[in-house]
Amino acid sequence: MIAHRFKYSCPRSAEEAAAELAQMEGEETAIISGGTWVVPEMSHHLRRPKLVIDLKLAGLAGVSAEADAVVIGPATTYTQLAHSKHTPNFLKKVVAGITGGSQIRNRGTIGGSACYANPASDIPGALVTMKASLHLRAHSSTRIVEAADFFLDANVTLLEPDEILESISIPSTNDENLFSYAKFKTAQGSWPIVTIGCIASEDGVARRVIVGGAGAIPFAVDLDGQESEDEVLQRVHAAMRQPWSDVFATADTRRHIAGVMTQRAVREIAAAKNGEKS
Amino acid sequence: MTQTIAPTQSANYVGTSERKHNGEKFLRGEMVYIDDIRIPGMHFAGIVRSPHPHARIKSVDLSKASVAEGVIFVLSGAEAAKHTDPIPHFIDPEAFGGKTTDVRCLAVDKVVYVGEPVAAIVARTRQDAEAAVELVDVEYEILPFVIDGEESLQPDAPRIYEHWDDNKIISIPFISGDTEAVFAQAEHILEDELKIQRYSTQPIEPRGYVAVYDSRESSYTFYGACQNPHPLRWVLSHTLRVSENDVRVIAPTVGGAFGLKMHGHPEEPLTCILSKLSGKPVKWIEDRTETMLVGAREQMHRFKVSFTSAGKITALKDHFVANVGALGAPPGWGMVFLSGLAFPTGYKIAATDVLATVVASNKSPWNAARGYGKEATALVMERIIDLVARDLGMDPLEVRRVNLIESHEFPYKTAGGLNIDSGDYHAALDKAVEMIGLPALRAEQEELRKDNRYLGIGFAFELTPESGDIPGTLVGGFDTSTVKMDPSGKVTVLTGVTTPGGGNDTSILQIVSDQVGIEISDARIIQGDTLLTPYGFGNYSGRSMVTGGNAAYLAAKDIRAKLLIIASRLLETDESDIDLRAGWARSLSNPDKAIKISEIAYTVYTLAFATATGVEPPLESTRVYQPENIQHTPDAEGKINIYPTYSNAVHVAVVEVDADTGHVKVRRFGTVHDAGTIINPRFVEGQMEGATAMGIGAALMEHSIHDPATGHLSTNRFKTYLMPRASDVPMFESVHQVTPSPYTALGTKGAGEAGVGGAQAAVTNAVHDALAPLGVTIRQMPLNPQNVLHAIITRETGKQA
Repeated sequence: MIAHRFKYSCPRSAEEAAAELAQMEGEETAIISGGTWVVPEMSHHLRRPKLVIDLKLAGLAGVSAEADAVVIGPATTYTQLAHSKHTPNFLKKVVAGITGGSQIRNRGTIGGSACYANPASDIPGALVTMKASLHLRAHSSTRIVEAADFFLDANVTLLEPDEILESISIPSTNDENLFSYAKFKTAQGSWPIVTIGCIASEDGVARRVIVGGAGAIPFAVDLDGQESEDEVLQRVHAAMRQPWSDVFATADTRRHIAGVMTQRAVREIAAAKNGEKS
Repeated sequence: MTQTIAPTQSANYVGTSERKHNGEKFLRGEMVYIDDIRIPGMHFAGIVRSPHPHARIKSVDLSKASVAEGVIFVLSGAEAAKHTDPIPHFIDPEAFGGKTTDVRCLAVDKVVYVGEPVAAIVARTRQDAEAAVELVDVEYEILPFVIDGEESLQPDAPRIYEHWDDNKIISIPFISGDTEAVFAQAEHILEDELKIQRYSTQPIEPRGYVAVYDSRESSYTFYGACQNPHPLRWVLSHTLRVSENDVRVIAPTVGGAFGLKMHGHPEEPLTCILSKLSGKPVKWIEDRTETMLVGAREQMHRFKVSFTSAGKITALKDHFVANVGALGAPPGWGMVFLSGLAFPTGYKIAATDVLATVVASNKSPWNAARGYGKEATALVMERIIDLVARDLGMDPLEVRRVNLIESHEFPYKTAGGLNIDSGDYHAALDKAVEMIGLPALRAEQEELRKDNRYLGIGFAFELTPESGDIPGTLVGGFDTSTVKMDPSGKVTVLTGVTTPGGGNDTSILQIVSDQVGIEISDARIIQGDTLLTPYGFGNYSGRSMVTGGNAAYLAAKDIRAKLLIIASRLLETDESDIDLRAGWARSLSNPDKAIKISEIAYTVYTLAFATATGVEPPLESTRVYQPENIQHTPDAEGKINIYPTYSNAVHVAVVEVDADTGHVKVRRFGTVHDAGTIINPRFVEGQMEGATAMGIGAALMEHSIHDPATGHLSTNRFKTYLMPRASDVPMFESVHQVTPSPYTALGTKGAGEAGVGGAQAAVTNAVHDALAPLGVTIRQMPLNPQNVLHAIITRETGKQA
């Protein structure tokens, strides 16, 4: 149960939220969208924010198609992503595998998961795979960062204390390409140990595989499509620079599984390409 | 001519899968659980817990908390000790020749595990109580700690209890024959080890208590999510220094128990003393992170077996160590005793040398957990069988057949002194083979191996001694039921056994309704109230139907006898000509002659000096059922038998292992289960299905992990303590086999505890069968990707002597 008292605010826009944040001057603030991370932490007394800013009425949910990008509001839930006709195909596949039941899918949001930056979540790796850009807003400024640069460490992002994530844009150029998404976990309801995302190049080659879960942050494995299976493994092992371990698997185990899963993703894309040709 | 009507002849309900009599109320959310209980003026308890695994308490400063919002009362361990005595151990190791220590509701001088209660708050709301907990300043002097069991046995390990000379609680030998002599002559010898992880039970409802102290009567009413109301009353009265008859314990609907809700928990007397000292009814509801603290099952086995080339096992040695954490008052450590006693399960092994060593550590204490130690024995024995088979290149089924007790050998006295009642283990094995379609699976396995896919089939035999009685403790092997029929012909059953949700209440009503010939909807049952029900021990050890069910059967038979006398007079026919069924007494020879049961009942109460002359009113009977076969007087070898019945099962698992990642998928799971006479097949299946899911969880994922650096529990929520969900287990396939126990009135055996160890063993054997081409032996449970992959990568064959 949440034991401490805190101020709760429900701003009507991202600007309003940023303005409130600017006034906190270093006092602990929590921004929630679905609250699936922050509320349990508050219940367990692990976090005692003075202010909770709830983005549910800030107009930040929804998926829209623009000329060359799909723009997703950070407060868009997994369920909304699953149902929107504009959601990129790759992201639809990611969302279809989100577990935790309808309660989590109806509450958990893409932006919340990105900002929480849990190494074992699907979304950080998915955003890097899709080459998403994140639009961040502070009271008097905005900036755009690439997903690949956004994640710094486990639960650490580029987001400054006075910033909120205002929108996510995903370039639509690759949406028709072959793709693969797989995750490895112990049980149906458990966090992934490794996620593997790959959107193939236009000629159907797995040139960039994003490994999530295995390390503290998602990392890219760049390939040219000519590597042997062993070389793929070596590329994965070399690319993992921030190891991560938890109660489910050590860093070594994660590295090993990441290699195996990357090989499988490359094979899957190749098989799909060959399947199309025949 | 009179004849006894056997239960089957008049069976209307017994043997059928009658639905839960109050199932609709469960579905509608109308059942009253502990957290639904609200007493006028009720306040809430908050508990300050130790953040250190081992520390001396220098001071407890409650001043800030005592003036916090909503707080009406604060309590330190030192103050609590003035008002309470240590909590009596459910099973005191000292009584078995081991060491003991006082366990108090709040720690006084030092703490010995993270989460140990140190101080308590009573506040207007739960929120206020939790907020005030954070304001309590406890000054600790940090002491070195040990969380690993084997490290704790080392002479230089931090001493957990200063009055002990080491951290060993007890070592219990179970010896039969001369193993060393057999080993010296053996054709084959195999040695290996298996580490069983610490894991627990997680009922959907955590623990919770509401205590109401009545100052005028100087008495307590204690509502608790508990399994054993009467024995708990004894514990509370001793801890709280009041007479046993000044405590009333009421167990409302319980949302699963599995041993976790057996008593000895500090919060039980704590809630009571908080009510007395604060003058308010006090509620405490456990948080899941607190539920997760309670441990069980962690054991390190090192075994050696000798066997012939034909697969006959000639001797078994297993000296194992169980890390039970800090010594708590609940019956946790006793599981280790049972692990030792249950060897060598249903196998005929003449020479056994089993030594069970129980060691304390700075992990949180154990409580009982379904299987009560016998699950560990099943796992180790079944691994041994498969290892012997692998060593000889034999079919593991054949090794089982060679060593299992044969059906003509019952009753069979085991090396440990247990007297196994009945069974047909070989027939159960055959049924399991048939059920799973073994030849087709073996062919599929062969095919898949060509593609480097690893399918495995694993069998496990499981023997579950149930309904035990441990002498000198309130772990009783008998129980009591009352059956009352009122003048309207409605029936009330009161029984000392309780239900954690499995359906023994409905099953007891099935037995009673058949005996007295009424519709089950005309009967109700009251359990879990020490003021209303006869004395009883509640539920554990698969005992509820064996004891409470048979007691109700005897009591109902008494009522039946009276009903038959009156019916015979009113219908003017012989008693043997009367069928009692569905609310009517009817002449079998002339079915037009019938009278309502309610009219017979009314006659007993209203015509006691006329039609009912000689039939003693009222229609009430209280009977005790003491099963046969419990033998507490030591035999020639000094052995006793604490169990009357022995259910058995054969489990078969089909798994596929991803050898590149260590992931295990359970594709099929089947069980042939023999629980003796079955009262309600669906409930028996439900018990086995639940236990099987637990066993699959135990085999593949459940693991309570303490951080070696801090002594904190890392797996304190369901995201880190993994349990199988519906999608992680296959549809369960089940077959019943019935060999009635000759030692119980209805032939029933226990049906609550079996399944955990058998399922765990079958899955473990299946994983090894799958990985047989790689020659992998996994020595660390559970078989999660980490442990399986590690074993594959560091590939090595079984240790050969």
